[in-house]
Amino acid sequence: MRSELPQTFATLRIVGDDLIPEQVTKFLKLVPTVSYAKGEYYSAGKRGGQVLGRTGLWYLSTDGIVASGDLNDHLHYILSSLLGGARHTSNNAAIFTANVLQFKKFVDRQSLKIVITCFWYGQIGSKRPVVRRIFKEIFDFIGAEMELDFDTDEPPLSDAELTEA
Amino acid sequence: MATLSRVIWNKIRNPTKWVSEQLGIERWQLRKALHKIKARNNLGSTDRIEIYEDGNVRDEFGEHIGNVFDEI
Repeated sequence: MRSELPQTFATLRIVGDDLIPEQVTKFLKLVPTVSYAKGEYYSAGKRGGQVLGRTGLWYLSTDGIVASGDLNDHLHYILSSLLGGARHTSNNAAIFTANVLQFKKFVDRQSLKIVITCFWYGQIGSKRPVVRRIFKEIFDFIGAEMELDFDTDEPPLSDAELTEA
Repeated sequence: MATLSRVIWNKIRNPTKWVSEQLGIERWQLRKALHKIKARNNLGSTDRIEIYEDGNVRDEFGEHIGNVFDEI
C-alpha cells in the first residue's frame, strides 16, 4: 500500500498578453505562486534558472496549501480564491453572484483567459475522482477552461523495459 | 540554460515509469512536477515536452521551462 497516493492538487492560471500581474493580485487580494508579465523573466527554481514569460501569467497552485486528498477540496479553494471567498465567504446567494459577476467583468475587460487544471495520481486500479457539477457550472459561467490530468501508477518494469534505450 | 545531458523523453504521451527511474524518482513525483512546470508555462498537459537526464525540461520549441528536481 502506497501511503503517498493519491496525490492531487489544482491550479489556476490567468493569462493574457496585456496581463499586469499586480492588477490581478490587487483584484483577488491573493499572492500568486508565480506571476510574470509578457517578456519578463521569472525564477523557475534553483536548477530551473530564469525562464522567459512568453505571455503574461498569474498562477496559483493548491499543492502544499490545501491538505486534502480530495480534488474537490482543492477546487473549492480555487473557487474561493477567484471570488475573494478566502476573506469574504458568504452563504448569501446575492453576494456570491455579485462576486462571480465582478470577477467575470474584470476578466472580460482585459481579455484574459482562465485555465483551471486538476491533477490526480492514484494507485493502479483506483477510482478516478469526479469533479462536482457546481464547480463545472461556475467555472463554465466565468469562461474558464478546465483541464483534467488524471493518471495511475504503472506496474513494475519488466526486464526488457529496464533496458529501454 | 544550456543542457548537455541526454534527452530521456520527448513523446506526446505521459512519460513512463522508465523515465522516472532514469531520474531516480517515483513516477507520481515526475507527473506532479511536469504538471506544475507546464501549467506555470501556460502549456496544457498534452503539450509535447523534452525531459533531460539532469531533470531539465524544454518545450517543443526547445525553450527551457524548468527542472523536475525543483518541484520535488
